[in-house]
Amino acid sequence: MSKLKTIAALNLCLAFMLCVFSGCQPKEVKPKADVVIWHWMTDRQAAFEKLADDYYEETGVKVLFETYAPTDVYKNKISAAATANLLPDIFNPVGDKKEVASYINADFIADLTEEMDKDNWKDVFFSKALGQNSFEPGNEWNVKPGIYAVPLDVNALMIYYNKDLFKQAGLDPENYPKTWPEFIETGKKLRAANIQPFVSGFGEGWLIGAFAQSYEWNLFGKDGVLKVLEGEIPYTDPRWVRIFRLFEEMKNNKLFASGIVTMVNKDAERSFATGKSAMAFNGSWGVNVYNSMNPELNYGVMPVPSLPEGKFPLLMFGGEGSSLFVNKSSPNRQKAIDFLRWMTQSGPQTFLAKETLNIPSNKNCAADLPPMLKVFSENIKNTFEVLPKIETWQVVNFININLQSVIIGERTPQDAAMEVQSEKERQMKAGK
Amino acid sequence: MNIYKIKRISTSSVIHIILGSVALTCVFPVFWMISSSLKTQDQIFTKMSLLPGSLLDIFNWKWGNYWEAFVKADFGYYFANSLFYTVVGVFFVILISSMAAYAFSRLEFHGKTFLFYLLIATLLIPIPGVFVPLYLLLKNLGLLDTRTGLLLCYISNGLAFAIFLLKGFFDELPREVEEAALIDGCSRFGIYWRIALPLAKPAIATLIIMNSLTIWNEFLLALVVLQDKAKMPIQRGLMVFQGTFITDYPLLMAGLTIATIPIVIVYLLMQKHIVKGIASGALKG
Repeated sequence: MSKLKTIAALNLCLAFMLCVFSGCQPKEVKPKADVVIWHWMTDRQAAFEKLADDYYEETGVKVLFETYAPTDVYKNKISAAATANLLPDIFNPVGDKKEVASYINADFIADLTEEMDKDNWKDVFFSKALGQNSFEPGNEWNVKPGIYAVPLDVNALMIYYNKDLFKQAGLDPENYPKTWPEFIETGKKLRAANIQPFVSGFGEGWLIGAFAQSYEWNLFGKDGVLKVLEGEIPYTDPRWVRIFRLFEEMKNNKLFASGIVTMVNKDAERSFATGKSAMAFNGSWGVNVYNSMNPELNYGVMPVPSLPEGKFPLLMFGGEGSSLFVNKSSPNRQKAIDFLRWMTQSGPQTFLAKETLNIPSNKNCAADLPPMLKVFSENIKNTFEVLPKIETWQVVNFININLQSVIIGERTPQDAAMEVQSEKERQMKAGK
Repeated sequence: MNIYKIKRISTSSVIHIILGSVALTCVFPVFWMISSSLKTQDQIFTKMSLLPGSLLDIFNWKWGNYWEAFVKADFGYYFANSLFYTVVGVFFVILISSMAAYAFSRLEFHGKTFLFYLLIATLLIPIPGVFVPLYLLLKNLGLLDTRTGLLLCYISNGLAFAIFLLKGFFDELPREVEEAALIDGCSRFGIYWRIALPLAKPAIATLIIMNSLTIWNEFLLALVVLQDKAKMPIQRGLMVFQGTFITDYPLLMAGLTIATIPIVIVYLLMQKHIVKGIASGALKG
């Protein structure tokens, strides 16, 4: 009886193992379409699927969009698939230039320069959008110069302002502040009318950094910005101290929304959309966000106000929004490129812009955009220039943290600048 | 009224006020979720009321959000998938862990302590840290984008803690009962099946709740392991409502409410065992 039970138990185990490993045979994942695209843009999936259907009707090529979100999970999936050599035909490594460069150097991403030259494909794009997907000769990551991705949309960061709250504070909503002193005066008047003047997701380091960088371009110009990156101009330069002082000035004049230093952009967007703050520094995606949160919101958009002493044009954070890269070793490489070429033509791009309220990367579609997006689209030319070098993340982090410290009064602008410079020197030493 | 009665009533009142406050903070998010699921998107941001609208107007609350969420996110098959992963996953976690825990508790073999601590050490490895090796392993086994592959991940993920909890529980069981059964001719497996396992009911109930919650809410592994939408769990359905910049809160909240129901049912069915289970296993173990 005991033997019988043992045999029965062994059989049960065997059956279980067979069940579990029934699918275990070396096999590759079969493609479900001619071109497979992995992306993270969940809110655009329906529009993408419609485009894929249209493309199938036109060409007979089946394109499949697969969503993996949030971005962190998507990034994990991409890196795991790259290691296993199972990347789809089209994807995006989602990272800064350094990260993209590592994928290119590992032969995961195709060089699209030749394709972009064919039929002047590259001419349909905003040059800024293409620039961010290109690598210049002599770039610090040793990537072969060329264009490596196809931009789908572009964006820019500007200041939204609530016209009704401006009126309430006795300000002319059609005459927004254009210079820094005007901006501070506007803020003071809003505060005097018991209105919170300015909000942004400054708890997210990149937004506070983007605001500061505009003034770096304004005060230093391209050569100056490059010299700061090279370490030839220190962060203790009076112009950088001035940038830190701008935040102190905003704090002293009570321009900031309460809790701005820890505020994430979602909360800042809610504050502006619900009329709790009069001005918001945010990206062009805000048009879509505010429309969904409060369709009645009466607002305008203005560029970041420039400094009177700024000798160079004030540029804004922005350029390429979302881009797609082609898998270099994909057997369907040409089909993938052909689809992207089709997708970036005026028809599909206008459709995408209308459906998703993002600014298309195809500059010829600007005329068909909703009015507010048009303002952003016109300002794409005023976004930061693409540089052959980027600041280390450690220094960027220090800049952002010290800007936050100035806002809460923990450090003076001079101290903050010195802190950043010390980190810069540390990183330069480590780099050597 | 005597002083003792006053003392008893005041102590009881303070305790009830504290417990009530804690309970309120726990229930509030659930209430907010249900309330938001019956609003429109702009109502969520512009009308910060606890109720979706006037009680007299209850039929005009956005009940349609539930249907829309169900249809828009293809909840039907995601729901069935999640149910399958949860039931099968929890079953195998309990089956394998109870046998392993019993072996660790009662059998003597070489390297028992080392193996046990090695197993416990796996609890320290965060899931995102094993994405790449797991992906490669599943690819080499031909289990990528298969239900079996995902289930194996879920089962192995739940085993270490389950074994730890059950071993502690089995260690506390009186050996005399088992010895009597052995004298009566019961086999080792018979003792495990007829005596140890029924006595471990409280710990098993705890594990059922914990693992059901984990598998039902799991999302990262599924997204990395699976590609076919038709095999994805319910959390993938909820993702439809969360855009890069915009979240459709009413539909997301309706979807969340739907997704919460099965797990609440499991909890209600098992709740009487949970405290006993944790106390008997984890604390004494």
